[in-house]
Amino acid sequence: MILRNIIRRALPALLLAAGIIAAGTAAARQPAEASPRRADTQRNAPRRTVGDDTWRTEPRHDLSLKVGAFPFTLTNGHLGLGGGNGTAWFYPGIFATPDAMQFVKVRRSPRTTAGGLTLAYTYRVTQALAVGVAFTYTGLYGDVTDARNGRRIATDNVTTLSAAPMLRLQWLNRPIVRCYSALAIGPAVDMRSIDDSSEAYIGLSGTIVGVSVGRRLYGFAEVGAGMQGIFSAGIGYRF
Amino acid sequence: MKDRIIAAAMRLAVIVAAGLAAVACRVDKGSGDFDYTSAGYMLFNNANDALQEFSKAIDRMQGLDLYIGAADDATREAIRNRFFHDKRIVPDAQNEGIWLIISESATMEIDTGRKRLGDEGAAWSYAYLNGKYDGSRRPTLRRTAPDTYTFNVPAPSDPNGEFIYAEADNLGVRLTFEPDDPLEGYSAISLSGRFTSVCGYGYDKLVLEVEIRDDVTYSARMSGMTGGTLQLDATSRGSTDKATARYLTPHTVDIEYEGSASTWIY
Repeated sequence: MILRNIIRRALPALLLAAGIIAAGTAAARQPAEASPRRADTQRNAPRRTVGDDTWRTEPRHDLSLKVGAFPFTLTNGHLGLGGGNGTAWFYPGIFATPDAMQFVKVRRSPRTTAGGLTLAYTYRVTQALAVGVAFTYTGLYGDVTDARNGRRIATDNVTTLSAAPMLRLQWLNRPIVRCYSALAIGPAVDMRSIDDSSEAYIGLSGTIVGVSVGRRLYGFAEVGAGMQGIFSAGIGYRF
Repeated sequence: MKDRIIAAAMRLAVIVAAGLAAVACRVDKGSGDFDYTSAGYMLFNNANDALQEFSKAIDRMQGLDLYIGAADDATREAIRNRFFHDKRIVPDAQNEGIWLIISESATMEIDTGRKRLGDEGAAWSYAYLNGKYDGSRRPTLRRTAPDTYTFNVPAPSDPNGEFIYAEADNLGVRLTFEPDDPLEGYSAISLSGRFTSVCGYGYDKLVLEVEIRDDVTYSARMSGMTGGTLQLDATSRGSTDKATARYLTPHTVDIEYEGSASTWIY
């Protein structure tokens, strides 16, 4: 069971790692086979800036995948930053009611998360502005056990899903390095397994600063707040 | 060269992403080192709530008895300061033998039956006329021997309307003073016997049978219980729980619950 938990929690990061290492290796090999003409063109081309019409010939579609630390959920706040501390839920109340007696006979394991996993697609409408949609998944995993014998009697997982339309403003545009800010706002839902409850709300995510490195295949890191996390990193592909 | 930078940047992004996932991994502490006897402690809270309420009511009746029998105004004032420093004591002008103890939150109406508490055949009953209490309930303190009484607490007229209440049938009471002087001392109350505490919303109740195994002693001077042992047997939703509570000081208690023991501060 422990192995299964480890695999379940680390799987998104491992898949991401494997994919990117493979892609990165391929990208590193690719230049040797690239045509000399393209390399010369790049070497002689002037630096592109906002307002330059050359962007029209560049890829407009962008698909990215990232992991964000401390993602926000309505039920638990920014996970890992004091949010989601459910200890008080099990604190003995003043009086023994039937409900309170049931709560006090169980324990909850420390809850864990692999962060927020976001798949985003954007389409550049101008040199600086792109619109798109971001799908975010956040899993919070925990168990409820019998206080006496430690046996698991239920899972206490909270799954958060959101689909948010987004705007991305690219304020530095170099052939390899790009800096941007972004805002995503859209419907989200927290689904809790222990009582099969769910709560829908409007989720918000903002990227204050994002830096991407690469042409078509690129890696990036971001600082922001909201559903996608505070610190994020991932890979993307422009086509 | 640029492509190497790109490849390196992407690898870095992967490492950072994996690092972020690892850093954000643990979200809370769960239940932590939660004490297993907490279920027993909660049962104790129900029983203690009733015992505190019984003791304070009896303490007020003892104080009123001294107040009524005071030889002069100075003595009466001293008694009022000792027992009722934040309350007013008013005789009911319409009904002889009925007194009102008025505080900011409630008015306690005591019917003395025109007898002193120590008189043979004395039976003092009381009701709270406002606050959280049902005014129709009239617990009664009945004298059976010098300094010895029985205390009866009826069930409320609408049990499902009360979140927590207790009922007692002939709880044994011994009344003394600490120090042992009515003009100087505070109430020292000893309780014995058994009672029932009922707690819960609506029809979903936890019924707690409380047996006082060693007499519970209440010290008005220390504002709490100074000794006594309770056997607690609870039933709710078809399951039963048993615990033992032993008063240590007015704010600490030993709880035994299903083989585990802990000292709790309350």
